Amino acid sequence: MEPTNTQAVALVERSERPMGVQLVSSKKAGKTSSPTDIVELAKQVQKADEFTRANACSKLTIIADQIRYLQEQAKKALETASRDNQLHHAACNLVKRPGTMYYLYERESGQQYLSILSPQEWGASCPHEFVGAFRLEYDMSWTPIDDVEKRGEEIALMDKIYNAQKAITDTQFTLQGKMNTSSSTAQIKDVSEGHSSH
Amino acid sequence: MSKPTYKVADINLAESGRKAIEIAQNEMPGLMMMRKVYGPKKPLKGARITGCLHMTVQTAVLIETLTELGAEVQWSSCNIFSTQDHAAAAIAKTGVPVYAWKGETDEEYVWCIDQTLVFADGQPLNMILDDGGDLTNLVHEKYPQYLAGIKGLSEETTTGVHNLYRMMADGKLKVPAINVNDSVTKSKFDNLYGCRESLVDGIKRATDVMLAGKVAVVAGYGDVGKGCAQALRAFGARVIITEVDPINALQAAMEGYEVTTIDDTLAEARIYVTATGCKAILRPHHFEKMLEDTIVCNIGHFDCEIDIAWLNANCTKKEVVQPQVDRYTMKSGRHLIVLAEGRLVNLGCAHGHPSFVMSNSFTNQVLAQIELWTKQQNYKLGVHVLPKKLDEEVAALHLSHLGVKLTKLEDDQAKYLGIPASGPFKPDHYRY
Repeated sequence: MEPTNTQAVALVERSERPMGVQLVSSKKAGKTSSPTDIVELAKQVQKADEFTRANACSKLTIIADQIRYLQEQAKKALETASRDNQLHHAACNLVKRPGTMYYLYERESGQQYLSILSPQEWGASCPHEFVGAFRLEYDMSWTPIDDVEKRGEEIALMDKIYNAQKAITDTQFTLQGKMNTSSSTAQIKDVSEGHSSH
Repeated sequence: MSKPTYKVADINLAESGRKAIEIAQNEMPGLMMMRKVYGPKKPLKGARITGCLHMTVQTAVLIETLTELGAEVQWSSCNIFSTQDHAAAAIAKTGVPVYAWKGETDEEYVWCIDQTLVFADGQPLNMILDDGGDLTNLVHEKYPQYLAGIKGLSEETTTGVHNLYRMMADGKLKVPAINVNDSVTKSKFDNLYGCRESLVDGIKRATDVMLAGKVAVVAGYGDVGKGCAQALRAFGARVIITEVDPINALQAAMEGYEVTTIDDTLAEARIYVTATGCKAILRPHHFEKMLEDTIVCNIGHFDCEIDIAWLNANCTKKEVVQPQVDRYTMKSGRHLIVLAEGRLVNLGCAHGHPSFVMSNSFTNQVLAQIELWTKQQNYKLGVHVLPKKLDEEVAALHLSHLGVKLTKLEDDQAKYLGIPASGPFKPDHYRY
């Protein structure tokens, strides 16, 4: 926005014959009664300017923050994807099971591999450099060991919401008599069992 | 951190493992009879047995037989790919310390054995039950301080037995050993009948290849090779044998197999199975000449029969088709399919020997452990085999499950043959 000269007070244009009436002395009728009048007006204009600028600024700041946040999120998502990809492609002799913690090591050759043995279990005889520990989640993403607790809490919370939501919808279905709730839950259970046994 | 009480891939598999163990028990009449006969007497009380043998469902039945006979047991697998994770989980759940999962690294393999040497009360092992000799060698080389307390060791397989005789000859063996492998009810049964069923199972699960009409090469015509050759032939494959021993070579020829060298088979064979127990059977110059998508696998104990290291270093591409099935692209542009990374294909790609035949082997193991533990004075430092009478007993325990009716030798017939009417029926040198 073009910064306005806050000192310049714009007064309404004068008219020699307002409404066709010839004034006796336009000058006299238009004379400021006190020298402070104009200063008062000028002050007011200045203040309004400041408010407008502050308002615009604060709105823009929110947007800028949001952009920064989104950028951060995008970067994080890309980094997580790249790390997950790296973990999925690390050498591993095991068939990986969701819900299990895996430990990433690096051999002298530079090859990184996943193991179920923790550095604590290895103790002093640990043959390779420990890089990090990650839990494989059921959506095939990886959670670093430090975030596992947080992630667990999040999942527990989501479960709670999901179950509450499900209870409501299930009741609705029962009321409408359109769906047998017990069979729908049994199906869900079956699927999870099938997963765990493989 | 003190050692974990067990380490398996997923303890939640225990329930499915338990189901498989229960089914296996019915197919392992020898072991179940041992429990019935010896269970109440607890002949293995005080024995702290460290076992290193494929951690499968069948081995689970063996472990629970040993504990029922009074022994304390700790276990690791003798192969990095052979563990059945559900069986390991079921055993861990019973409180037996087991350290085994399918897909260990070589370093983890040694870690697993290390965990089994000292028991919960801080006492080291006093018995060894080994398969392949890795545990035996590890204790002799890395933990010689435990040797004095070890009363005996029983060895499951040919390779391990060779190792024992070599150690004995070099004066390195410090523990009386029983060679379970050469019990007739072991080598003539699990090597032959076990591999006869599990080799093709492994090849089929891994590749779904049609065997009929193909040329298949079996390197080695020992007990394992005989079973493999028979199974491949039964599927309609044209089987070629390679041998170094003229006696085995003649046996193969008399069975109607073509016997020649690997080099001579390269232009026609589609499947190679190594079963020699020797090293460097399939070499770089063989790989370079093999036909497109030739299937290469090993059923001998160790992974040194096929030069996998050379393949890894010299292929232009190695793709994992599915776990345990690798397709190599050679510099020539041709492909090779290698199963179980050159380790035991019947364990890596299938479920190993069926329970029934393992019951034969493992009943020998249990008898060997009882002999070594309870009759220490009878077993001086050296490599022994079980008495013929016990061998016959193992077989007898398995007959009724198959509905076999045994003919009773009458006294005058026994007198005519010059043997006791209740056996042993054959001299020790009889070959069956």
